[in-house]
Amino acid sequence: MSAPHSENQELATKQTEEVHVGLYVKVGLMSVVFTCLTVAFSFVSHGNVLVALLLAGCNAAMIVWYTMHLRSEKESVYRSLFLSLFFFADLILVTLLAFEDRIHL
Amino acid sequence: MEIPYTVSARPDTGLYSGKIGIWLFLASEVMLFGGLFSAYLFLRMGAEPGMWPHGLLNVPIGTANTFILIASSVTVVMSWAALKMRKFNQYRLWMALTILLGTVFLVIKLGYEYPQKFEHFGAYIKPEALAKYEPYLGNNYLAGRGLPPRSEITGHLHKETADLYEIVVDAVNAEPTNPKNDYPSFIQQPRSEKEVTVEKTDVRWASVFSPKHSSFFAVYFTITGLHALHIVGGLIVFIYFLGPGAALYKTNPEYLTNRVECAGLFWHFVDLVWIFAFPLFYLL
Repeated sequence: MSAPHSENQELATKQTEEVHVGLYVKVGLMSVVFTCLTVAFSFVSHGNVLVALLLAGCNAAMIVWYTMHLRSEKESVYRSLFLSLFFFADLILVTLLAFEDRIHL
Repeated sequence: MEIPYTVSARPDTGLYSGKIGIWLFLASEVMLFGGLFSAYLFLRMGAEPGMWPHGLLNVPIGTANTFILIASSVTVVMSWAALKMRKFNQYRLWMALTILLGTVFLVIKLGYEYPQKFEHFGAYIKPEALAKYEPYLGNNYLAGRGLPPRSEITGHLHKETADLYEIVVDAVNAEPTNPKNDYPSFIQQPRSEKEVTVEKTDVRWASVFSPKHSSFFAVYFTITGLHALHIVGGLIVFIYFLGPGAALYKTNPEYLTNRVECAGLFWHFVDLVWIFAFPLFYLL
């Protein structure tokens, strides 16, 4: 491929500081460790839902924060995600509340 | 006509249009999978004791598939990083690896795991007939240990007649009082040689492990099937970026970089869905 034109080259140079190759590899390895821990804990604790989901949550948060670059995103992204997560939490909460307040026929 | 804000940031959002678009799309995807996970929760919490299966999925294979998706998540971000640093050959290598890993995931899921399920058979026994099949269920033993009862006999359907099922049962039904079978194990125990005859009049319902088998498999196939469709979608986009789409590098490499970033964000999301689906279906 021919070399890209100078304007793009300039833009790329400016943004190189956002690229952290070593960090992505570390996050990938940590993700493997979290998966191993989730599997190990699930067998040791015979399916402890809370521990397994907590580990999965930490794993997911790490990927979103570092690999998906959420830590350096703009406010507009945070706003849209906040709304989405708010309604997601609502969805799960409503399901859980339904079991707390059952109609017994 | 040139599309605005493909490379430069919009003044109002501070981002190029593709990026705000993909984040909004991912927000809607959270709701889509959120609804399905909520359905999983609802079905699982509402299941009768002993009616939510455990240990029917192959954990080592599921774990391996998780590692494969995590690795593909790393390779896709590396392909973006290579483009950002204008290393086009490296980009092609990482992108090809991502496509390979995604394909391996799909082959394992659709070519190995799913067909295995369609060969496995289960018969739920009517509550009034449970005592008759006690030697294969071991519910008295389980009650003594404070464990939930079993109501299903699983294995491979050897023969079916008008009145009977002849099942070569799994280890859990061959030796139901063996403490090894109290909880699912990491590596599934080998199939037993024991054949059990179940009368159809004693069966509540029976089928292979397809969506109609149980709420568990209905929600399992729905979520993992939808997830697999997302993988297929991602792979199509990646193949395009590796093939004809890569020509954009000659004229506007930053535009290609941004496109790969957006597709990469989608791929990471697909990885995240699996990170939650894996423990919920395979481990808990």
